[in-house]
Amino acid sequence: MKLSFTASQETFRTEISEWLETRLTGAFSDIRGVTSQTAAAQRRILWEQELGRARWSAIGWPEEYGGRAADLAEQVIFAEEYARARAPGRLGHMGVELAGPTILAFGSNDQKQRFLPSISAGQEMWCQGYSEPNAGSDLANVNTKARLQEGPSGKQWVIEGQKIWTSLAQFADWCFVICRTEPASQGRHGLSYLLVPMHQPGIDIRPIRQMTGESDFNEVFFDKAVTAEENIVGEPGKGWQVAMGTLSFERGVSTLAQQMHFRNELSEIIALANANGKSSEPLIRQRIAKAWRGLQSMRASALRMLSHTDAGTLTGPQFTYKIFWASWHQQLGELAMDVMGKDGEMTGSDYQLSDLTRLFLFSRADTIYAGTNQIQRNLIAERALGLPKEPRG
Amino acid sequence: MQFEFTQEQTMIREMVLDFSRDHASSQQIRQAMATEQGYDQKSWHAMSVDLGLAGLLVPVEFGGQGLELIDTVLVFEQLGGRLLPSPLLETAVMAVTLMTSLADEALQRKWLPRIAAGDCAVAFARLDNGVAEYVIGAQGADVLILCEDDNNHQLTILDGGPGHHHGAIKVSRLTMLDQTRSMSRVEMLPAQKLNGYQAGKGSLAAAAANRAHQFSHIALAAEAVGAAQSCLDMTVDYVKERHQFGRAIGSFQAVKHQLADMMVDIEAARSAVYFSACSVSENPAQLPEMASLARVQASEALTHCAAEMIQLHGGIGFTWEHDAHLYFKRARSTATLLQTNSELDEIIAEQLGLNSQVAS
Repeated sequence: MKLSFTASQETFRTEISEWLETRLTGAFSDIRGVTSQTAAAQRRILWEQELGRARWSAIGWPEEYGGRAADLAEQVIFAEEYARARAPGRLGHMGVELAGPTILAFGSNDQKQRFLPSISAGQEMWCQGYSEPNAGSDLANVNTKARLQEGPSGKQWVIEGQKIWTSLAQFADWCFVICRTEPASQGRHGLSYLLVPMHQPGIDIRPIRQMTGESDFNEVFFDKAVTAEENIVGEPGKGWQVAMGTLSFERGVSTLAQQMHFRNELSEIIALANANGKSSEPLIRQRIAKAWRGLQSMRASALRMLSHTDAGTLTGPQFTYKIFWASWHQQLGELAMDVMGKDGEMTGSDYQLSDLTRLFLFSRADTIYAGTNQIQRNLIAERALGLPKEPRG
Repeated sequence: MQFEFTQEQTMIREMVLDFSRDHASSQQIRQAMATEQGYDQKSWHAMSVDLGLAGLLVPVEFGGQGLELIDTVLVFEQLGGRLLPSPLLETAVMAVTLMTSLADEALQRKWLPRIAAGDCAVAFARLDNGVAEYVIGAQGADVLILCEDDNNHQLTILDGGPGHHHGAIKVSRLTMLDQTRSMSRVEMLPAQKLNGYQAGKGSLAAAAANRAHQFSHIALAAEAVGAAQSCLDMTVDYVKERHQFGRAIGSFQAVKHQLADMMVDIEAARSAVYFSACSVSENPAQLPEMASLARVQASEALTHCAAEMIQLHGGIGFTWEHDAHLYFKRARSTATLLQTNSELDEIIAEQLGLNSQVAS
């Protein structure tokens, strides 16, 4: 077990941090520190392209697809430096973290050639079409349907249905969609994983206004939307396995970037407590210490997880990580409000939120999306602890 | 950067697991609890002499194994799974860390080989105004180290244990809630001269004493993680067996979710303990907050898991016969050993730069 990095890894760290610093004090200084999902979207798409040109966008990918074939330690360093520099949240992450790795793992050669370079170059943005009004925690209950029909230029999939909670759909060029391609099939069987272009008449995007007053998520309606026959990843009817593959990619290096972001939030709370005198209250001091402990534990858990990525089996922290960070982050939001006092409850005249107030509200979603806390507890109990399965109707 | 265990570390773990199987049954633990010195001589011999665990942190040149704290942590995690009383913490971690932190070769040459050979149990008492309350392992110690914090941190090593220094010190065994740890009150008798080895004083002595406690916090944390894991394992076994309403109670979500929450706390604490143990050698300056991180995180996990173990066992978990109460009481004594959790959190708060003065 070793926590430190080698000299060449530290050189790599210097290279990335200098590159980021130059860009973020220069051409992209206006979007430094932007954390909300949707703010300054057009500028952030240009930022994605800037990253892509310098091959910093998808460093873990093979070089032929625009990556650097970076090893795990380098990916960790990149994630840390990216967040340390307060570089903007990645608008391209659905492509880089989810669609891309799925295509790399399950896609055909043609699909890799077609899609991967444009993802790593920041030329095409992606969104995820998984959840539906009746397929939330019970994701296998997907009801969006696709059937293969003759189109103007060969066979194409024709898609009907509705997706919901689709982040960044309004900026996306493509969506990866799980839908039912075998009529009358049920549950995990008969689903397929389709890649669907977003710019077409059959797709209607409606933003959802959240409790924050902002709209990070959308409903996406498919009304005879189409995609070419070859835009299917894996075999028809075997989409569930591909989709689960995508979910497992979510537990990778990005957790470390997320933690650096959390660290920035905690630092802001500490600075605020020192500034307004709350830092002298024993209860606040204790809660800040506890938050720091949680953050350190997360970092250590991420390092444990990353050390086991090739082992094939899931280890303890892989089961417990999601519920831990989500619950921790929610408590951080509550702590932020207690440190801010009444000031934290004040909004801008158009209900604009400060970063910490947004954290307080938005973190209610953390324990819901990507597997609710209840679902996480079921997974831990049944898969990690081997307890009997809940009888299912 | 590398965060996985070597083959050697895995072997250490398995060796200790075998030891626990042979020496740490519920009956053996209860017998050891009832001894006068606070531990069973035979199992201590097996641990310290046969397995060489007392010399884990002793440098090779003094006959020890010269291992790092992270290796030691694995041993304590495994041992913590069972609650076998032993003087390992105070001897192999506290005393050895104190001695290796002092630049005194004569001292090291005199005692470290003896400790490494499993020849002596050592206890360490920090006295204020001639008294140290709640000293772990003092009653059964063969060597007693005193640090007079109110007297320029004067360090004195008394060979032969309390029995050989009747006139100068008084050691009184305390009856405590947690019977798996031997605790005593150590008192210097007024106007008596200590006949021991003068091992230094001043800021160097204080730094060594603090470091000894900080290393102990991390070992203690590892032990708590092992204990919490046992609480979870035993409870999972129980809820798979126990049937009510025609099904195993472990199939009810109300029960499952409590167990899942136990695992969440345990994994976070385990990560924190490994992380802090590694950081000790790589970033020594961070030792105070890393010790606090490990100790509090693990102590809270054990407190939670031991309480849930009782709850999920129902009535049987409330009996003297079942081991659940031993874990519950161990959790309590862990939360207050050397320093309380809130004192340790205050160390973190200070390190984070939180001003304690009210802004004017």
